[in-house]
Amino acid sequence: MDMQATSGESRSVEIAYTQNPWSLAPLSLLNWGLTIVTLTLYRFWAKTEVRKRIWAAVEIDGEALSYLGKGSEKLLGFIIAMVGLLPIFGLIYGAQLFLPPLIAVGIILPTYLVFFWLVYFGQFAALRYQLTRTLWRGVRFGQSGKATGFAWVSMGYFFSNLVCMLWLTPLMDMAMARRLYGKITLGDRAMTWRAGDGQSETAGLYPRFALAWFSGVGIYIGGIVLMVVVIGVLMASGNFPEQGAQPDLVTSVIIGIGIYGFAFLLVFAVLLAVLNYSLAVVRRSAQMLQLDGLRFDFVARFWPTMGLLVTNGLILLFSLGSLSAVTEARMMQFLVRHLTVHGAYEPGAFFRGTQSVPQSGEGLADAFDIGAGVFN
Amino acid sequence: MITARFFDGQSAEAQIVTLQIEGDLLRIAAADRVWEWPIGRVSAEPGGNGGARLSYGAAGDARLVLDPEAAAALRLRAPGVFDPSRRQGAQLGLALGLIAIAGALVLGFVFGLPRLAAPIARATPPTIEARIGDTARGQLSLLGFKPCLDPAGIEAQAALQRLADEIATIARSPFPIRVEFVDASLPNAFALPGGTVVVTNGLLSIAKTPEEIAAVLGHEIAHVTRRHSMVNVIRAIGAQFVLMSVTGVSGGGGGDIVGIAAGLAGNAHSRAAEAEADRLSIAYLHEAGYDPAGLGRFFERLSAGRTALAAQDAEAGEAETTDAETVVEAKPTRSNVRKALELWSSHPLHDARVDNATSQIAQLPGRGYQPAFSEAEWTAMNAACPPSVDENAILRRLRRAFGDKTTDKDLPPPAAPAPPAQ
Repeated sequence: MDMQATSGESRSVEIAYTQNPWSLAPLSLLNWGLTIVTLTLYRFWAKTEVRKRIWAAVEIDGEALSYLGKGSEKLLGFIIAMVGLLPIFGLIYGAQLFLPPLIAVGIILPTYLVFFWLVYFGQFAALRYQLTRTLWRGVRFGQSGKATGFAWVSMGYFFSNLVCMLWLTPLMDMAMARRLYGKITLGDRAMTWRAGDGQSETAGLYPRFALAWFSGVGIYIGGIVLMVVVIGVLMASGNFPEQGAQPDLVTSVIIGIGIYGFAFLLVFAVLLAVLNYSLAVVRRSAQMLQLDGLRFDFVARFWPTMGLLVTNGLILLFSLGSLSAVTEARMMQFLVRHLTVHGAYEPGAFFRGTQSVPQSGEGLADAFDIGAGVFN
Repeated sequence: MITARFFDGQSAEAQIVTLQIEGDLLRIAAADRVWEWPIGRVSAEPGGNGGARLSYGAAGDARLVLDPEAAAALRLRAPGVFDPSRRQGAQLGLALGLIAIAGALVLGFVFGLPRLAAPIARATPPTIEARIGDTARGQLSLLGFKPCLDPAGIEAQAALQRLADEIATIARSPFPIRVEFVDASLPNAFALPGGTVVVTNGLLSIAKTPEEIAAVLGHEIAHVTRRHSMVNVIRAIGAQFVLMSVTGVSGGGGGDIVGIAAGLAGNAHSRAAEAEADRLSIAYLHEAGYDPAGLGRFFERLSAGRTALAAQDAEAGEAETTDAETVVEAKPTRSNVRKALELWSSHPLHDARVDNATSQIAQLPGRGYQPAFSEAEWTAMNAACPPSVDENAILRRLRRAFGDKTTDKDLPPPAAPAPPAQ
């Protein structure tokens, strides 16, 4: 760590994660136990404590992040959100109780669209909350833009994407990333969203998306063809059970293996393809960001990422969720290790931001139990 | 002299400062400025490798960053800054407070909500309950509950309605009772809010005497008169709102915890409502001049049927059923185990209901009883909407277990498909 005054000095940036993720295991277990005995009420403070520890382990240019959020703020946000949401649920219950089914559906469906909109709104607001509670070198991060705009655009993309059989996904993902991460600020300086390579923001994404899409559709169709062939072979050999008859053991096993094997293959192959695409989205998003003279890249490769996700999943499974803080720390460690920052910056050029800091903001995300960015 | 880096919260520029302790103040001196922080209000959070970061609420986002040596030096001179007991005490207080709130919520959930539900239900205007019942009937028909409309079914419906009207008069029901006799293989009868009682023909195929049907009808009418369905609606909605208020819309893992507690609490009150309906049914039938012993016999039949089902499973070497009540009936378990299993049930155990009915009937003054249905009515009930061959294997087993000797071969062949329209 440099102990010299840095005024006017332009410098390159190193980013590091300084903590063993497993050091969070005792805190995680304590949080888990307290969350259970308080009927989940402690979760606001549990998440806050974990964030404080994880943020403090992230050092950018030798200075650690500080997380300034409070559990009471999260509780307040949750209460505000629920005060707004419960009347909507009252409307839904009222429609179910008092109105003929078809009219009730006519009322309930639009309310679910409202929830849909609120989930996107909550995602934006939660990220802004987390950023405004993140301090580095005495200056807070922040986020410009409006949650309402993000919600409308995201909802529009979502439904358009359905109509286009998901082929708008890369455009949608990058448009949402632009509105989420391209609006991040540090003090009075704002990120800009501009590709350093001069290409479009979706450059390199469509081939990977096509691979994910076609692998899903291809395996689905291929699986059906395979099942038809197997049934045909069984029928031709006289082994296929007649309607209503109990199939013999061998046939049952073959059919069972076929059905479950096909489902597993489908899900696994699509997951691999989707992960490959998602990594590309994260990398492209990082490449689009620029903060003063700093540019970013995310260089995680496929199999290490897969390894992290699988091992995190196993940790959660075998610990019954009690080691979730460890998995979050491992995720942050992985992100930090694979995030590179190029260029130089001048610390003295960053001043305290003039944007107001919201008093709460994660209430909707807590109410819907959705994540904001990486951490929920 | 202790040196450290200082961020003033106004810019990202680091300033090299020296630290001094002067009385209760931590003096932070830069080249051109001095800050004084009251030691008692300075918070420390651990930094990397034994370092620390200090903050003071009134100084906003300003941070004093100590490397390990500086932190060790300051710890010697101002140990209070690093005293974790303040924070630990606050955390303990928070945890205890939240546990107390959670305990109050559980008590409210288990005792308060159900106790509130009954008076609210009884204060609800009958017109509102009737409207809720109308909606529920519409939803039932969407779920495939269709009336049994063959000639015998229409006759059976009329007979059930006639008996229901008699019982409702005696029960002083706040609603006119409307019996819906539906063609559904599953043996069941239930009361909707607002006075509708649904009886399936599957139930009629299990009952062997008119008095058993009368007892079931009396039981459901008791649910109507005591407005148990409305109590259930209010309790369920109230529980859902409380659950969401605590765990959020999705519930998550916490929702499961609270949901199990709510389910157990709901079951306790449901069992009490069932016992009350049994008691009232016997009183209604006795007053109307019908033999209430049908109630006990019906539960005996249910109990015997479940035992037979379990025996069939044992003979066939099949896996044990997951139905807690069936396990209880099929195995001679210890009473405490039986009670534990009853917790998971919305209804009292059959043998307890038989015992209760028997002892209540024994205390009734003697009187002569008339048949609940005429022979013609009873014949129509048994002939109404016979089971079709497409009912599934589970229902066939249920019928046999409950004494139905019909085999698949005895069932009528499936109806021939209608000729295509010309």
